[in-house]
Amino acid sequence: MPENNERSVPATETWVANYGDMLFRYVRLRVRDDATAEELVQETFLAALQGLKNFSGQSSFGTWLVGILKHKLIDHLRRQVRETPAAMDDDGAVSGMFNSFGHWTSMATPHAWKSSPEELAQQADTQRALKTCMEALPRRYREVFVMRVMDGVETEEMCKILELNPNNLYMMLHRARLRLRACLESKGIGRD
Amino acid sequence: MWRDLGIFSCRQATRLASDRLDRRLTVWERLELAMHLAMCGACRACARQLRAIDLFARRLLKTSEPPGSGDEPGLTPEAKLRMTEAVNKAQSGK
Repeated sequence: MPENNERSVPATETWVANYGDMLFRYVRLRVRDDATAEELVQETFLAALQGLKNFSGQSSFGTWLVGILKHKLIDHLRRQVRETPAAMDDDGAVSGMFNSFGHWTSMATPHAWKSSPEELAQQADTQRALKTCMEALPRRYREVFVMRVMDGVETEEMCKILELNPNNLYMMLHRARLRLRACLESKGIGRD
Repeated sequence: MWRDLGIFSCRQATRLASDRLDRRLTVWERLELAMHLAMCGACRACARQLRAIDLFARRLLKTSEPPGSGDEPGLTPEAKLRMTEAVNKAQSGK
């Protein structure tokens, strides 16, 4: 991290130049578009300015900023999920994978991958494809997936933070993973 | 419901295969899933792949962090300018 273990507050005119890229990259991986990521970074700087007296210097200034950004991100996710509460609606992309009996359609039937998950995980192609596929996820699926899988937040805590019932959360994660699986397969991952 | 009818569909099996990555399944759910996977190669492949996707995502995060170390693009110069102005404005208004 580029904060050079600073325990004191750097001059405000250096904040954006010194920490902007780091904060942006952190949050960009977790939200769907550049504009939202920029907005959250800007909110972080403004909140830092407001709460400067709370910076104790126990951690570096950069770490403190990341902590503020995490709160901003959670607020953003909560808003997203609230604004799109129709989590029980039908997901055409997922429904289309199964016939009326709930069995795989011939087009969507998964086939075993030719390489092991560990081997595939090392490959740059897999990472690129996953990024592209995550970009294509509906926003609320993407964001719960990132929070749960990448940030490792426990589902109980997620339900509290996002004010979701567990069934809705599990359903969104299920749909996110099925969509990602189909997308990765369509990009040739696992076919070698 | 499939349970009442004694039918366990692939869709439901994939739901449990995903759920088990997020919560502890009940004994009954584990049994139902195991029985389905024993008979259904497509769901067996899918269940492995769902687990693999979580692994890929965690790996993606590892290669992108610590933040700032990756080769991902940062803020555009315009965004930096906008933010600097916003910070300066807020600072002067304090």
